[in-house]
Amino acid sequence: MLEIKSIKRFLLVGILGSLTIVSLLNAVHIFKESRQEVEELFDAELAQMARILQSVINASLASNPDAKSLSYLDNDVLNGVFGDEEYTELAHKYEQKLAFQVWDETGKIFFENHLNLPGQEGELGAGFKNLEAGDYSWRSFTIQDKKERFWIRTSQREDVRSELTNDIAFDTIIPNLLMIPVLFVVLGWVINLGLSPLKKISRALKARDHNNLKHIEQSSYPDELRVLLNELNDLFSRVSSAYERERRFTADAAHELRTPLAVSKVHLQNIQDTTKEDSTRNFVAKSLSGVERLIHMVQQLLILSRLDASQDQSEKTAIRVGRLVDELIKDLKQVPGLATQNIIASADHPISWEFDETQLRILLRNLLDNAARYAFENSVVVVHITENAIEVRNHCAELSSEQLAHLTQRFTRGSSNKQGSGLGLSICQQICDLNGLEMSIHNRSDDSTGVRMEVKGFN
Amino acid sequence: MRILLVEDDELLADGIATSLSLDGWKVDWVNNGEHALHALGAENFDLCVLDIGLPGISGFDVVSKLRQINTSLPVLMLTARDHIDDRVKGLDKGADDYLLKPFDVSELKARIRALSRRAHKQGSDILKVADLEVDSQAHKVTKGGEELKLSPKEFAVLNELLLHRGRVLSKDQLTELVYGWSEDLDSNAIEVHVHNLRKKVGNTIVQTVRGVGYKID
Repeated sequence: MLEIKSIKRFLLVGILGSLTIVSLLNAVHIFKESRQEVEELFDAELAQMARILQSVINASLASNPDAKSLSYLDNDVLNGVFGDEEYTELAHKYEQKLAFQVWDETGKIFFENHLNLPGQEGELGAGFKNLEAGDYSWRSFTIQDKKERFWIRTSQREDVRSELTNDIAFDTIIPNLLMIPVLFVVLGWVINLGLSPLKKISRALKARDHNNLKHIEQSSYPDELRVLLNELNDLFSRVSSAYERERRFTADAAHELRTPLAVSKVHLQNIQDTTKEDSTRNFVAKSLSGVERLIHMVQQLLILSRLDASQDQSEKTAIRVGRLVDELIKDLKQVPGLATQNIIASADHPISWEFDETQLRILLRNLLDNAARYAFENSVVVVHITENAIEVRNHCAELSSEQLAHLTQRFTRGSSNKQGSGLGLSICQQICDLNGLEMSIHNRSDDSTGVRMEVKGFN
Repeated sequence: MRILLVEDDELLADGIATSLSLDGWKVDWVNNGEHALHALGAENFDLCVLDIGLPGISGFDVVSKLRQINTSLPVLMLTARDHIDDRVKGLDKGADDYLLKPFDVSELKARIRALSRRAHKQGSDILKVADLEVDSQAHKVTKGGEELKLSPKEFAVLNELLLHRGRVLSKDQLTELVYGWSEDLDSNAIEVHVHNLRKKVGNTIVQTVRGVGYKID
């Protein structure tokens, strides 16, 4: 089956192509028909002229039976009179292209207009014939008068007939041919207009935010597209509800996990509060740290599911970034395992960004947490804030390009012996995606080994 | 201090009750809203630790109904929902504080102490009478700077009398505050504790109001 890559091009080429072919065939047909009609008219004219001559000669012979020597009076007028002119007061140049000859029974011409056409050769046949004389072809008609036994032949030069028939035929088809470019323009406009709803729907879909699953308003589209729109809206609904189900599942699961986690934590802490035995306290401390990790992961999962759901609900305010980063650094100092990491922040000048505060807090906290968590112990994490970007550098082992590529995927951790949820950077990526920011993670290119994370596009 | 714990998860309730008991608090546990309202209507508690996600009557409803009968009882909500709307709703319904699950028991205890202080209009955990200092957080009692060894029940009796300073508490009220539902006790238990307490802190601090009960001025 024919593969249509562009409906517009297909319609334009298809319709205009067939129209052109049909118009041309029609023109050829009309051309031929017109020529034939004109030829027939000329032939009829030849026959009529022959009959007029027959009547005149008959009348002349009736009054004088011996007068078999008629002369064509205007012969002198015609010879050498015409230069470039076609018309004079008395004649037309084309008279030289119309001939007549009259013979008696013996074959002697007794009346002609002296155009040196070949005379009688053999038996004269009556009717229409084509003759060759000198450089020209002639069309002739011959009849014999039954009573006086003379022959009449009237002739027209073929080139004149062709010129005339062609002129007339061309005049007939020209309007037809002129219609083709006009149709091109009109049909192009109509096709464009007809396809405009498709263009409109494409534009509407293209302009959509990738999270927008709202229905497309159908009333402004033609019937043919409504079926498609119906299906599309139906798909949007299904995607939206699947999305909602998945989000609810994550949120519910995270909620439901909180109570059992609380149970484990409370009981483990009770053991710690009541036992004095070091080995037991040690085991319990380890169990508690596992529980803390689970709690952190559940918290991150909840944040993710909320981010998924909160696309339309973010509220942007001006946030003083330096102050927020300082606050987050203080918080991180309280996190077990991160207390010994030095985080040093600097800014070009006091900077404010328009952003949803909760999201910015989560984004920056996760960036700093990751940088500190996966850095060498007692190393320095450097944060630098510029007008529209934040850069975080740490010291750690170099990461392979594969590791770098997977860092922002959910449940991927940079190092298996660190206590992370594997969700932190994917949350950062999600926040960046939601807000049109660009996040990049590379190995450091300066003299230290480590990772450089940058988020830019703030304003 | 007698605390009503309303929590439908038995394991969690058990853990919380154990933890709070370690600090000498008396914890009574119910696992649904109806029982909670019944208990709060019938008995004296110093504080209520209330889970929001209860079967039947929710924690929100319990706290708003409680406020119709008792306007002053401190209520600490426990919730698995961290959405700000839930917290605001709980506080607006009449809760005094909230704690998000999973929590640190030390934080739970600190919040309980803070609510208790506020309810008794105290500035700190240390209560003073004459040369006696009672630190309810550290469970430490000193007299003239010297530490006294008190049993948990003696400490609880002293603490309750100090928390209700100037008011007479009957033997029944003290029993309710110091013992929960689950413990068996003989009818003289409070008298025995008061007797022992007087021997340690001195005779003048705990006064007997004949035919009514005990008080500390």
